[in-house]
Amino acid sequence: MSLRARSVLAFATFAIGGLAAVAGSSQPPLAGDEVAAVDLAGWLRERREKLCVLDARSADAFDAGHLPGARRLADSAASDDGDTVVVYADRDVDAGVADALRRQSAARVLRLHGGLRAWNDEVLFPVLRGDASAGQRQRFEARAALSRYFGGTPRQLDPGEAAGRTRSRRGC
Amino acid sequence: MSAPLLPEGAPLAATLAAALVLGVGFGFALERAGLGSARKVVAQFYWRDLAVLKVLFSALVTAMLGVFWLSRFGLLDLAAVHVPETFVGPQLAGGVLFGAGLIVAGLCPGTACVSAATGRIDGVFVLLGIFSGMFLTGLILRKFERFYTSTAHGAWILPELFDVPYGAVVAAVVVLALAAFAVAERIERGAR
Amino acid sequence: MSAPRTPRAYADPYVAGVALGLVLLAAFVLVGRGLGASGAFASTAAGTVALVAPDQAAASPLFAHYLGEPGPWLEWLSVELIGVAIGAWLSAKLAGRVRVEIERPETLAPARRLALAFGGGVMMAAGAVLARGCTSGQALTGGALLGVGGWLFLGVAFAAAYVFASLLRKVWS
Repeated sequence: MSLRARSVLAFATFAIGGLAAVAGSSQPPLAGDEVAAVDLAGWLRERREKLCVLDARSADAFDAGHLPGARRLADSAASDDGDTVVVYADRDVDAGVADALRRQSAARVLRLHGGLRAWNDEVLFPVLRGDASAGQRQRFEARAALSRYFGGTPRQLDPGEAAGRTRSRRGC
Repeated sequence: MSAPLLPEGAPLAATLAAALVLGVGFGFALERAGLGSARKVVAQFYWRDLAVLKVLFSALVTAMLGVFWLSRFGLLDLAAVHVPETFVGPQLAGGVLFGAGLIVAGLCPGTACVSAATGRIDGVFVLLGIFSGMFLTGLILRKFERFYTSTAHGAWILPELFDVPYGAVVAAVVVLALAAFAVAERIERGAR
Repeated sequence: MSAPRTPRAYADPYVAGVALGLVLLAAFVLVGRGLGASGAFASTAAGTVALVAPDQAAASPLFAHYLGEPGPWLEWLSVELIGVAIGAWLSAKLAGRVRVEIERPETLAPARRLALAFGGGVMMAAGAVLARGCTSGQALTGGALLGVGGWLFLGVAFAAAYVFASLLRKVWS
């Protein structure tokens, strides 16, 4: 490879790597009409007014368990409910569901990012690694408090546990 | 999030077919780079030919950037990608043993396979050694089980260790690799 | 395609490296795991021991790991390593580099080279077992995923190789 080609390749790599530092997280940013589970939990905890949470799942799933204060999407007329509507399902809600709500209502309609699964993982049962640093432990305290508020259990992961994973995923 | 396309629990036949195809690509790239040659591999450690470092780090950086950006654009679910586990003590000891064995043998397990497949008898003997070593280690490992399973950290990544964003570590690795390449070019020019 | 008589020069290391990186990335995207090599030998050894002495195999922390579903003979890494051999042979054939020989420095007797190759292989096997992977499974795959263990192994193995290289200067000069 010529020196020129090498320089171009090196520069491109440097640029793509530098942009990674600017991007920071490896997770995709939330879409404009999405809300993170932890943020929604904060709103619910501070009893934010005119906040309406809608469950887009079946009646059976709703009866088996739902977000605090949520109502079924099918049962409610969202049109006159507050100025923020959050709709969720087991995973991400189709953008079409949110669009339909937007046509009926003047409220700001948001989708819960990652759905009920994210609520369980991030709000109810957050996990702290056993080998976490002091700073990580301190930040986890806020999450743990939120988890206990909603009746969840913050967990500490024994890193050794992961050693007993299924074999098919083991590397070399 | 569509990828991994064949996650855990996917049909075994499909996963194994992918293994074969990926293996062919892996072997082809290693042979093209010349890493099936023991003398070329060993030259790295006498500062004569730094192809090992260049190939390893350019592959590492390429895959790392690909993983980061695919995940960032929501095309790859990083949580479903298996990160090799960390066992600090055993990996320190294993690293020393492996590094020593690498110099004695002149090839690592992957490149020994390339060497053997391209007709080198020394490569075949390295493979025989690895196979025998696996028997031996497997049979005596019970006596060292406590050490073998000590200092387990599971899937543990540098962003967690250093408590910095994933992208920051990616950028740091890129800078490290580019600096290593620049130094390698200088050393090779000096060696000639 | 007929192979050229004189072996072609090896590819540019950066180009080959990027190609290798794309294969590794394809592995992440396709099956959610990286490449490896030493695990293929561990699972094959596990399968062999399980045939001869099932109790021994089940009692070994290394072998027991490979005896669950789908069994030691259908290990992903074994199939991958067969692919490596095919790919390597194909590449060498196209470049006229397939040659039966004992690759060694002129000062090293063939028998000694083979003995060292075997002994080094044994040492690498033990090292790879302890480290849960080799250059491909731990250093390359773990390194690309920013695994702590991968970088630890990469650093230690490289450092150890440099130290032992200076001790074995006579062998490889």
